[in-house]
Amino acid sequence: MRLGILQGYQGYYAGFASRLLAMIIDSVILVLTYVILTWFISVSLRVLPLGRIFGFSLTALFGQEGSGQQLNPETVVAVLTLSTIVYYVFFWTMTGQTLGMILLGLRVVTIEGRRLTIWRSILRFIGYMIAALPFFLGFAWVLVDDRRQGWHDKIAGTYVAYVWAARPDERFLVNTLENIEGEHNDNNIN
Amino acid sequence: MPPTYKYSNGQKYGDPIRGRFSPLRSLTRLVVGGVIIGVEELMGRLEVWEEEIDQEPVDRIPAEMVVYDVVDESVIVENNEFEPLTDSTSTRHVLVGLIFDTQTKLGQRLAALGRFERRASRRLLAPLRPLSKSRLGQSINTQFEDLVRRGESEVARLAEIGKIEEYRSRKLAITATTETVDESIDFLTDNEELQELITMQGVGIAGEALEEMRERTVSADDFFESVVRTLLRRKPRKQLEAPPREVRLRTVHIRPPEDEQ
Repeated sequence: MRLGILQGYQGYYAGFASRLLAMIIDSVILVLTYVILTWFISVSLRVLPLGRIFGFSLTALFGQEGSGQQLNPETVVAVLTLSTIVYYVFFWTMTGQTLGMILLGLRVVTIEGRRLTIWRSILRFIGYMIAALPFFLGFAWVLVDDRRQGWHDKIAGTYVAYVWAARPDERFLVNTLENIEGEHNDNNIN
Repeated sequence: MPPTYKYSNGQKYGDPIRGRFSPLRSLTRLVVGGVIIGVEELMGRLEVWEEEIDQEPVDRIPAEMVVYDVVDESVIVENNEFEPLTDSTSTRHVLVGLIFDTQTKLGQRLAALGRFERRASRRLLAPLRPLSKSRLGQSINTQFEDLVRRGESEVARLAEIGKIEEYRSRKLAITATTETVDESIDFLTDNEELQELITMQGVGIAGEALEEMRERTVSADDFFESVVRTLLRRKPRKQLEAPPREVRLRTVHIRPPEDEQ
């Protein structure tokens, strides 16, 4: 792809379905990471007598060391939240694309089309939580907004764009054309 | 040191081609070994498959074929009156039935034939017994027994050759199979063109699938939006709004922060 050439919907505001699918893919990746991470910590605590090795016990933080019990729920929540923040902030700052967004050919950028700074990424993540609070209304806002921005985008001053030569699939275009022709004919008859 | 093969009487096995290569002999060994190993494998697998079929739950057998007797869980084939062969399926069923019935009946007939042969020989030999005890009869008998002994020793010799050759044939077949498989794998792993082709095909298929998924989601973006706009009684979007061209270019061809300043 040469610089200066734009094809299809390249650089246009990305819509709700693409962004939702990217988010679902990210969630799957995150859940898998959580499972592996908590399993790893849990097994490490069970197998390694860390208290004896380091001279202090991790019971208070992670659970009952060596007893084979589950991790503390607080620890699990902390691990989940932290890994989610790290995942999103890291990818938004580094490339503007999480793994799900890479698959769907999307990128989050500032209104000026620049890469996000770490602070703007953190702000966008806070925006995520605010958008999720009223029954995810902030995310659904993408459906009605002219720039297809969610509340988190508005808070952080960002938007999500297609970075591939996006185009609707042919069947969709054919159906749309047929509908338009149908409406046109109806109008003529009336 | 290579092994020396001997008969049970201590005599050395006279392999006429020992020490030199004979394509015909080796090919015979390869075929014999291959057939023996192949048949053994096939028999083993057939037994396992038959067991698997027998373990199939009765309720999975198609209902149109059987009457399922719930009381003793037996499969009862429909015992219909004779129906004219109206379609090819019925004809096929008859032919398949004929094959299996012939097999069963042939086995039964052969067993009956064996029984008849034993009875007949008992009845025939009884009147001839005085003749076999006569001087002439005994002389013929001795010569016949000599012939039988020679035949038996020849059979034993052949069996010993068979034992030796079967062992060598099996080894040859196993070696041939293993080395052919190894060489095939080596060829596949070493052949860069082939690897490239496989990789390209994999990437190509994955790429096509990804592109199709993206296209569909782009369509879904427009579709969901039009549905929501209709519900909210807003005007349908004529054209998708786009950021300014330079912003789009910056978004697509994003550069490191130092270049952006």
